[in-house]
Amino acid sequence: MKSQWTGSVTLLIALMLAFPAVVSAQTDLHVTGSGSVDTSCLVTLTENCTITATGSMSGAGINPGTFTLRIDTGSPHTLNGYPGWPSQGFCIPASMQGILAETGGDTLQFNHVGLVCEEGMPGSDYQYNGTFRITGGTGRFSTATGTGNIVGTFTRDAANRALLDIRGAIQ
Amino acid sequence: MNKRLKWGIVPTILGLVLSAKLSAQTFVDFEAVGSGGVETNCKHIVQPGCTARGTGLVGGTPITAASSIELRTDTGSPTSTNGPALGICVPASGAGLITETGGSTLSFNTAGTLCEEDAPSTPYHFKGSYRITGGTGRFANATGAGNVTAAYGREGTFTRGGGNAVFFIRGSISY
Repeated sequence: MKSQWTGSVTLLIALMLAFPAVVSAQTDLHVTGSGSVDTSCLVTLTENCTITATGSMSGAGINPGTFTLRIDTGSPHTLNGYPGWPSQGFCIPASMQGILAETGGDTLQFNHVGLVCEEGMPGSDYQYNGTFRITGGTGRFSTATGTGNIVGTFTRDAANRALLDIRGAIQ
Repeated sequence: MNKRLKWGIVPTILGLVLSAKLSAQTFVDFEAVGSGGVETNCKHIVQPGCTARGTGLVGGTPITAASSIELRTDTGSPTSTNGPALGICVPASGAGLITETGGSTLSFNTAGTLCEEDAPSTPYHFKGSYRITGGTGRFANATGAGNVTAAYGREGTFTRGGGNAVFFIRGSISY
């Protein structure tokens, strides 16, 4: 009986060592945020400009706090489909980093890649649609990994309003 | 009370009041799933300068069941090819409208990509993001953002370029 019990424990330890991913729990990450945007894409979206959004965030898998999302545009641009040709807005490949900072001080960092597009004519409100990969963090997120979808929407009115929606998984 | 201390309290209270107001906006899950049909003048193939208009019924949260949806997608340029079968992808943007049976409406703008699944003239998908631009009734002050997906078939008649449509919208909303 004793040798059976010892064998079971040995097998369990062996399994835990062989499949560490099974031991670390993967949970939903869902973050919504709102704030404002600052950009060097002044008149319209262009190559090699930067969009930086900041604000407050809350959700599942993370405690409330603040977010910072930086998006750098690449090249070449395409035309977005708004039927007002030749005044169609632009779509541009983009990437960079984001940070979610809990009020308690722990932070979650991620890289992202995607496409940023004007909704209508050049100079109109614009949207970013991409994927993210968690690169680490501090505190309880120091060994975090994960991936998912990220959406940012930005207005060009006086409020320069930014909305953030992140959905994915974290472990 | 020290005068300097007294005046120091005023901006602190103002700051607390303002921050409370700013953080009062709460977002909840937004999901709309449904099906219907599509009409398009992208008849033979997805191409620049054409339109796909999907209509149907959706339900979800907080959208009530059997709400109607209209999703218009206008294609841009240039095209790219999506894989070894050389189907076409084009940038696309447009607008959507969801109308509940009770009369409240929700409007949103979209931006993304329209891609054929396989070879040219195969069924195609729109994948993009949405930004809520307003609405009526209980959605009059709505804001929000998230992902929008629509899958379109090519089963319809040749002249109208129609087919089946399936919609999946997921993100957040404050209203």
